[in-house]
Amino acid sequence: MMPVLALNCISHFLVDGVCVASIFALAAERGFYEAVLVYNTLAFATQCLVGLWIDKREDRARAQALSMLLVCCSVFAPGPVLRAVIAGCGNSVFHVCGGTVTMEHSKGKARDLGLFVAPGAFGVTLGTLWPQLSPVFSALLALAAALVLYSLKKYPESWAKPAEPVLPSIEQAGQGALGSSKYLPALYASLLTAAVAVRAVGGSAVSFPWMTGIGARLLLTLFVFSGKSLGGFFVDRIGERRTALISLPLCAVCIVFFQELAPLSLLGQLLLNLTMPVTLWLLYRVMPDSPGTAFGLAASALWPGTLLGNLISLTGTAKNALLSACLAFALFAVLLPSKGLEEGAKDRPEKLKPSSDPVKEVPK
Amino acid sequence: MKIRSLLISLSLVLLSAGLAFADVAWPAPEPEKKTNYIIPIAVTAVCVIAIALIIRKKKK
Repeated sequence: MMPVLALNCISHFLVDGVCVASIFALAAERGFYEAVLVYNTLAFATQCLVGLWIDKREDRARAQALSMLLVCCSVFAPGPVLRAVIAGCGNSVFHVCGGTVTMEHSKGKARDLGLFVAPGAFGVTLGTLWPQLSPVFSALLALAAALVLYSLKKYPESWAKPAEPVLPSIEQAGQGALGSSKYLPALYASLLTAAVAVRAVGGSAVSFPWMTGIGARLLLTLFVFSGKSLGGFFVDRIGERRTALISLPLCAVCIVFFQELAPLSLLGQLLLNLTMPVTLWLLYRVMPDSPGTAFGLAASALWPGTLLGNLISLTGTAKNALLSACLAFALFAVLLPSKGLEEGAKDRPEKLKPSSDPVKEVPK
Repeated sequence: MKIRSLLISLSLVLLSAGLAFADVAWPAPEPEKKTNYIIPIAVTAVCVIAIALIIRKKKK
């Protein structure tokens, strides 16, 4: 599985790099700002619907490779808006397919998911800073797509949907802190989706006065990358609840009170991004039979949250109050489902608990 | 199956929210007059997707 994860991580970096670079290469042209809006709307907001579609399909790896080739084509499209449409559609399908494959082969560990989502941050930053690299990124992405197709042909079992789900089905998650109800998974999913959106509002409302120049931008990206990568390891080590309880209050202190101090606000960004794999993994635990939908819901919630955060123009105490309220809500919205899932797991019969190595249990 | 319907509804809500905020952020062609094509296109798209999903569900 490791080569598949590595291939998906590299592909994620390249897909985001090509998408952003191909649009930013035409930054001087008319319609550039509109193209950015169209791209983000297609790339993020549609992922929930793509997820619903992908969960019904078996050939998600093939769809992933084709979406990578589609993203490669965006570099050759004339005009920023057409590029945005092609790149946005390809990006949306790639993320859901890649995320689904990663979760399905995670063997019940959140580590892989954190590692998969992290490289996108570097792709976006490099694509924005050096859009002239888009042909290079595109060529590398075409190579990665060819490798995915080759690997799919040579080692189909590495990409195949597991015969049994990694985690118990959605009905098994419907027990917990609020009692037993078949609607609990939907409530948990809504809460977690809201947590992602509200956290994005807070995350995009914040501004760092020290962030001037390429070096500072790259340093911030490194901390975002590290936060996302480490998030999965923390979840596996100390659980979702403890990870959120440690990271979000500390993040609030760093971001609200120390925005002007680079080291502490960088730490705040790391802590904020530490919770990203937490919400994604919890969503997957709530609906383990629909990994594409789980991934898509989280991604779709990011876009309205980010836009709202950018539209709000508050300063001083009002901005700090908004940031604190957003992070407090995100903490609550993560704690309730994680507590519910923990209690549901305690009540669950032994045979329904997640297996440590589901691959071994696949019937021949 | 009801949970799946709820998830589909949640997805449509998120898509609509994304489109609505994108519309708010859309630059005005002229300072005093903002012509919006996005809202009708977005509403139509959401309705088409919703209807397609309902038809698919009924066929099953």
